[in-house]
Amino acid sequence: MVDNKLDKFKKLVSKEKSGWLEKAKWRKENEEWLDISFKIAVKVMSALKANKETGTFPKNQKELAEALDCTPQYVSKLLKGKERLGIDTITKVGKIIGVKLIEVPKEETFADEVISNEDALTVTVKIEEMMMFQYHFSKLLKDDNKYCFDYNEMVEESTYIRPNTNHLKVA
Amino acid sequence: MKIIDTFVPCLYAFKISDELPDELERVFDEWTDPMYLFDFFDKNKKDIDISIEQAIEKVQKEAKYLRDKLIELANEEPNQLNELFKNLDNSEYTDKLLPRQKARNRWLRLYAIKIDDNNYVITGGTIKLDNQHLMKDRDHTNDELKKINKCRDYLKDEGVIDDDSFQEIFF
Repeated sequence: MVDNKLDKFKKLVSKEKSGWLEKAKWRKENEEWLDISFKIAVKVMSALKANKETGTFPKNQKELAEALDCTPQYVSKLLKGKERLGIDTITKVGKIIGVKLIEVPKEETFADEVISNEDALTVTVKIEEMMMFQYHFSKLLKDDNKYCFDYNEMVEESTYIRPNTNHLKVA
Repeated sequence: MKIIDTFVPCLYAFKISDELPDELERVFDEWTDPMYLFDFFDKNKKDIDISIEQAIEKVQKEAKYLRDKLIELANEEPNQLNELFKNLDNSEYTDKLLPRQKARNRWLRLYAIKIDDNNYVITGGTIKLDNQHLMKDRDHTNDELKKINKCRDYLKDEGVIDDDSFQEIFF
């Protein structure tokens, strides 16, 4: 019986196995720190390239190894993005090349969001209005000794609250 | 020249020399190596309209996509590698003897030869940039073109051809 082309092909396949799948799985499992190391490596290479153009130290891997007081092999591993870098190493490298390599994101707050979307003056005015609103609201409670939820009535009483504005809502 | 099993069912890869990993492993090693990528884009700056750092980030994302796609497709029963590979030359008949194939994801290219409906052998891979139209236009893609032809000749010489394939040629 004549072999088909797949059979003929399979006879050519060596017993040796590829390392690709193992490496691919390892990269996937370690993606978070590999991504950080990768980005740092790119930033360091950009800085070395810029230094080379301006003649600033360190301008190559050898000089970076000297500045870091480590071997060129270590720098090579660092630039291949395969090294698990400690915070001390990252900050040291960053200081040497004059680039901030790592930053902890600032906690986002509601106040930050408001300020980023509106100018500071508007925010100040709104805070003042809210304070005056609270003052009138508490006054109403005191005078009548009962709750009042009539927003329109309070707006009419207040000289500080503008009707039909969207920034202050009563549920 | 050897053909080796990639561990991904129905996917094989050429190993061009004993000093190098197989072609699938080699191209993914390159695409995940920031030092290689920085050097590559520095040499091919004229073919990109974005910064080197942005280009590297793009390759990193594409390589992850291609890696995950390969794992995903290879684990499907029956495997769907056909979804990934398209004819290298758009004018080439799909059922031509040992069609040359490419898996493309914007810039990244994996080149392969289709053995039968679902079996492929990787011959190499590279980065093909937007400003480049033909493989022969740049050294790095021209080398891949030469390699895929060399691999196809090897398979022909080893008789990975059946009667049906001959009929396909002559009819």
